[in-house]
Amino acid sequence: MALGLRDIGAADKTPEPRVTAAPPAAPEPRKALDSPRFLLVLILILIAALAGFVWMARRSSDLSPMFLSGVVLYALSAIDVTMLLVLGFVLARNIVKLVVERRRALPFARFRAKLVAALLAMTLVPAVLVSIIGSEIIRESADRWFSAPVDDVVAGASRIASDFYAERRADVAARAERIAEAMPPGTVAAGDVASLQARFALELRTSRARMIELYRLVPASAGLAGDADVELVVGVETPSLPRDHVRASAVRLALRAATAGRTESSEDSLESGGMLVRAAAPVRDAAGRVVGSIVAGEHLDASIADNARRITTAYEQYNQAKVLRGPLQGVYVSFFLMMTLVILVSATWLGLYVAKRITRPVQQLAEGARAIGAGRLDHRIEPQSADELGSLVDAFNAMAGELRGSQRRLERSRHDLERKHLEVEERRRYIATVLDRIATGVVSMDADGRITTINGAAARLLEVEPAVVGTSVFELFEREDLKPLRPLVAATVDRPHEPTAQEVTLGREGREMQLAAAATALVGAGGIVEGRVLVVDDVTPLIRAQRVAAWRDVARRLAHEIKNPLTPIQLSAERLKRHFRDAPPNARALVDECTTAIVTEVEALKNLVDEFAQFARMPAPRTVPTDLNALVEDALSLYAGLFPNIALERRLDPALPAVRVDPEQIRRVVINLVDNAIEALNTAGASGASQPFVSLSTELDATNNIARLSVADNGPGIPPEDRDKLFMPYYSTKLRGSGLGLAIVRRIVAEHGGSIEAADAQPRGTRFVIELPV
Amino acid sequence: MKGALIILALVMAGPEAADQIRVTPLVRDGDVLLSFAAPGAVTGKLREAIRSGMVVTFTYDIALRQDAFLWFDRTLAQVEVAANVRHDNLTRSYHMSRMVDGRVTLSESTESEDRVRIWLTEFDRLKIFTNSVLQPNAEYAVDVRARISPRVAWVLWPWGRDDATGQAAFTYIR
Repeated sequence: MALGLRDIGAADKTPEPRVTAAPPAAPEPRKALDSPRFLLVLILILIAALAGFVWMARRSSDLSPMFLSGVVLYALSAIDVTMLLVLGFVLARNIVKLVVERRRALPFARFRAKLVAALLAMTLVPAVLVSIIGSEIIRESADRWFSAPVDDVVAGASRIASDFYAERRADVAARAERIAEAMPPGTVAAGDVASLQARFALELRTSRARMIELYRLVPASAGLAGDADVELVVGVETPSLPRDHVRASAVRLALRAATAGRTESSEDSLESGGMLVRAAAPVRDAAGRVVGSIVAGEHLDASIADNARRITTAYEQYNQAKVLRGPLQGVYVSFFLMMTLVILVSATWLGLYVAKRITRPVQQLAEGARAIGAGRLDHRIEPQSADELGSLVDAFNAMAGELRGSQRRLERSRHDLERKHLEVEERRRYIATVLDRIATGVVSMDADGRITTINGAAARLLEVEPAVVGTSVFELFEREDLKPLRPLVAATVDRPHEPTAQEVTLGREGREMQLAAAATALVGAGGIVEGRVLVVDDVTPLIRAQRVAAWRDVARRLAHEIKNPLTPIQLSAERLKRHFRDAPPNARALVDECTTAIVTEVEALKNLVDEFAQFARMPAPRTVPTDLNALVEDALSLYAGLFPNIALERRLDPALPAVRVDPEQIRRVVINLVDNAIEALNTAGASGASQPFVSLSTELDATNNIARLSVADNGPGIPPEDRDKLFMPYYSTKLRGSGLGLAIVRRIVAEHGGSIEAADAQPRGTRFVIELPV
Repeated sequence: MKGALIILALVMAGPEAADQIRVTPLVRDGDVLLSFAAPGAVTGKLREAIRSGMVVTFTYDIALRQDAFLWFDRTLAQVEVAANVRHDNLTRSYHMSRMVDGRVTLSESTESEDRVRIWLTEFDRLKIFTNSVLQPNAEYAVDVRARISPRVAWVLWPWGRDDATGQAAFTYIR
């Protein structure tokens, strides 16, 4: 990963959370209590109630004191108590509300409280005064109604009426007693109707009586309650007596007097008018036993009876009103109290309403301003009125709408920027990924030469840490191995408009690494240098391949040009040898020695040419799945017993899977490496006092899907400066080596898609590591 | 100012303490006979009301209760006994009647004020509870609450007060 690119990534700040546009806030709904229709209905109800109270007050004289004190008083008391509770509740609620609002420092709390208090004070004093004065007037008036003179007049009239009535009753009773006492003994038992009628008629003519009846006491008949009964013996009445009087009433009166043994009286109102006053007196025999009763009756004229009853009724009503004076005063006091409470409750409510009407729009504006300030641009205020405050509210809503529109436009712009930023970021990530994946190293710098990015390939090729980001490239290239790059970058400072390119060689652990490097200045608009870019590419394998290709061509030409004359030379030498077979011994010995040397060297030269030819004609590998461990064992079996002083060790990974290789070519690789190790050990011996050994090992690198084959010895090792040349054709440390062995080995491994590296063995010696893809 | 003081006094003054009713239950031959009297109920003010000719009614709410453990008393039976009187100032006589649960049981006329007082306030050996609701050897209580109408005094809070109350316990023995 191009760690150096992370500084760009650092600019990749997480986008701010998107502010989702909230749906427009609905204006605060108007409360039902603030509805003009509701208020109108309330006022109408109040007016109707007041009209009803006034009507009831005017009709109070028509209502009976019992109704007033028993029904109206209760109703008024209930209303008073209810209104007191309402007033107390409203006041308590607003006091609590005021305290809470003051603690919260809400605006207009004091103003509302002051307004309510002012209205309450303005109405409380006159209302209470009116109530007190009204109650006092009522009380004084009542005292005047029931004053002593009135009492005397009403009581006197009633007394006259009742005295008249009592006098008539006494008169009738006296008459009945006189008639009863005048009855001769045995008259009742004899029942002489004619003489009794004559006697009673005479009595009627000489007195004010209108009827006289004689009843005889008889034992009670079966089925009747009581111990005795009476029966009419004779009855006489004047023609002026109304006919609608009830005889049963006279019978009951007669029985009562007979059973009680004393005079009884009764009064019956007649439907035709007037009143019939009756009295019954017991009639006794000679022994003093009650044997019957005389009932006498006098008719009171309708006008007299009605007047007497009217006087009595008036007296009773007066007395009832007097007795119920307290409750009746209570009715009027309650009425005044109710009116006072209505005024107070109305004043309180009016104060609250007016305060609310005044402060609410301002409060809403303040709250709206706070809401707008807090970013809630959808906040709206419902206009409560069409006055100046309503215009202010409209202007506020218009302002909020404009702000909301501006915010939406800003939102859209911000979203566009975010989208573009994301696109740029995507592109940047793409470029970073590409740069990170490519084998070409890219280093970017700012105008001052400080490194801003460095991809992984550059860090690997230049062997620098990602932490170099931010440091000056000129300081970095002061490092010994990187010095060849410094002039390249410096050239972009001197000639910013001319890109520079150059092949440079960097030393890496004794090997040379060929880099194709190019540097260019990033010139912006106006010709100002905004930065620089250095691109480096490892061309070592390419150069190496070019060299190998050149050597293969040389080998092919050498094989062709050298091998052709060798056979005639060899044949000529053998011919000379045969020609001088009969020559003198000295000459023959000389010829034999020379021709043998020629043939031997020609054979050696042939072998050399064959190897050249083989290097040039290396066939393509025919890969098959191969057990690498078995292949190693097979190769090592060739050396069994040949080198007793050299130990052949093996550490083979049993988990190694089959590897797709050409077995013959890989066997040749193994044999070549083992031959080299054995030869090195035979030539220089083992380092130190340890026993010489050649160790072969296999292992599976499951992470990278690689089969690793190592051939190590404890010989003298290879100097670091020669390691890079080991695999070059015709480079050999052996006296008789062709220099093609390791070149062929490398080529075979490369043909299999693998790699081979030479390194120091531990503690000493050389170690060749072959990596083949699994 | 005087009116204000009167209003204040009326508001502040609560109902007078309820007068007592003397209640005497009597168990005889398996029947419960109830006698009760409210001797102080007919005050001078009430006497004036009676003389004024208005109908004055004494209503007695009688309840037979039984104690319940850790709970309100259980009401076994309730009876309303009423006595009323009307004075005719023309004839100077009192017309009286008595009712039990709205049914007229007795009526009478008299010219004696003392008889009126007794008629309104004294009840002797009323058999008003059936034996079926009673269990032998159980404890019972009789509550008597009297209401007088019309009210001849005025207070701001005219509800929730009995004019006289009385209670007596008895054991029903059969």
